[in-house]
Amino acid sequence: MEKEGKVALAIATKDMKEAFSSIDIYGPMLGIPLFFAILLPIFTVYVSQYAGLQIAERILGPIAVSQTGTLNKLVFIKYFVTNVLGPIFLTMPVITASVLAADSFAGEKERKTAEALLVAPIKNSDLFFGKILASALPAFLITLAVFAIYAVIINYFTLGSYGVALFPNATWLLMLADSPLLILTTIGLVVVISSRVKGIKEAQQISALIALPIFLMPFIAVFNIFSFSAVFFGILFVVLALICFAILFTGIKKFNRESMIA
Amino acid sequence: MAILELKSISKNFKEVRALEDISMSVEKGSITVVIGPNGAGKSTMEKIMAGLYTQSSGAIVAFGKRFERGEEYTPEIREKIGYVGENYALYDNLTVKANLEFFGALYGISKNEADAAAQSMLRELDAIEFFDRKVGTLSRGTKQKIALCRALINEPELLVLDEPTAFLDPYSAETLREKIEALMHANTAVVYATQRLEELGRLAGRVVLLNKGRIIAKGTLEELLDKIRGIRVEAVLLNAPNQEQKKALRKIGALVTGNRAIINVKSMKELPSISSSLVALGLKVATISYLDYDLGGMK
Repeated sequence: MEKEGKVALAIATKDMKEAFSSIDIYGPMLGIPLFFAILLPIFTVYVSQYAGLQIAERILGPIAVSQTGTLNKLVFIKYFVTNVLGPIFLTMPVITASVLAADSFAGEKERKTAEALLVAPIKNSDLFFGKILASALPAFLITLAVFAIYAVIINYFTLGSYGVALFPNATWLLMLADSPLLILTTIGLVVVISSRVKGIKEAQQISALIALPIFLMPFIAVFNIFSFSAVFFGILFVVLALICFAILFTGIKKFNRESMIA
Repeated sequence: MAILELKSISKNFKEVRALEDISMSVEKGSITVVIGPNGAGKSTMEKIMAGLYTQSSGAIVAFGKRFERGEEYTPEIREKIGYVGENYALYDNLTVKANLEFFGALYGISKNEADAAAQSMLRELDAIEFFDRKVGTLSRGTKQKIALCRALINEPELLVLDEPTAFLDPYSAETLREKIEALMHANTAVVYATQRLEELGRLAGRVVLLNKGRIIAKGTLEELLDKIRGIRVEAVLLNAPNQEQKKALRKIGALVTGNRAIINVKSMKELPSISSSLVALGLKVATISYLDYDLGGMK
């Protein structure tokens, strides 16, 4: 491996060791994914069993009315888990990534460890990629695990009750494909912000704003303002790739070592 | 041969002029002590030398390469520099071993090499027992030793230290100074900022006096002492001076203790006029004698 790759990996490994040696990180890193992976599917199953028809009529209107009772519930579940929960699910990688990324540069500043890092013979790109990898890898692994557990629970219910497995489907797979780019975009933005603020709290507060558009998506779906289809997530993939590249390129180019310690 | 030259360096932080027109050089294998009060600009100057800050004006020539205003050191230059600042810059949640392996990796040093180098240095600094301990559990003094190990892990040609003995007990401070002296013999140049005058005598090859962002004086310790020394004389009086006489003595810069007055003069030629001044005040002088300077133990 080239020296630069080794340096970025060393930084990432150190950051991950540091982050996971503190018990504070386990709350957001385990609590939120557990909520998405286990509580949400149970909520979905409960709502579909006992209130699915009524909600389906409200949300889906004529589509639901034209189906039989059983299929109404299935239609509801399919719509709910894809168009409503799908966007909510996308907040999970954003939240877990931003929790880790907010600490990246702001944490070094706050704990006054930045000097030794910045005096070393490392390129800005090594520093950035190392910091991004430290946040991206755990966030992506957690996202994969949560997606998988969620899919298994929903499939278990739908196979048992309706003989149909809802996952995987095209929309869901594209959402999964979007998640690493969403993670990288979030982390890129947070890392850039983190290098310019005084401490971790400031970085976290600003990074919470990044997740805001994602949080609005479920409401947009519920009120039928927009349908988050496979096409939408396909386009999102391309858009995120461009944004991600732009953020990383600009972030590395404009990085100022002095701002980390002055 | 100069490995580092600062040429008319100035540094501003918004409206604050932290350094003004700083020019100095650091020779290979030398020790330069930078001394000055709090806020003099020592830390800022050292951060510029270490490549943490860029200068607002002026040029730096580091290891033969010139860096103008706003230009950051290249990785090749950074490889040759070690730095210990006012903060330890160690990761509290990681062990000493993990910290030193990490910093070694940043300099392209393998884990095994870093471990071997770290253990050797820790033995010299009497801190080997802490190798597997988390840094957060260590005392300030021990952290300072670990920070020095970190700065030396890449065998730098230039070591920049900002008050490294600030939190050390006298024994540890002395061990550290011995280590620094050994570095000089190994051809590592050291720039050492301190407020402790006694360290001047112990370490100084060259001295830079800094105040309010400017170099007040620079040179070898002897050159500087010659400039500021002058002569101290002690007048032993037959009677202790009264309050008015004490007041008058203080006006001429004398330090009065009992029936003794210590006065600074520029040369021995002033002695007769000093004697006359004392008599004019109504004092009876038994003897006037020459005193040598004692600067923190250094004569």
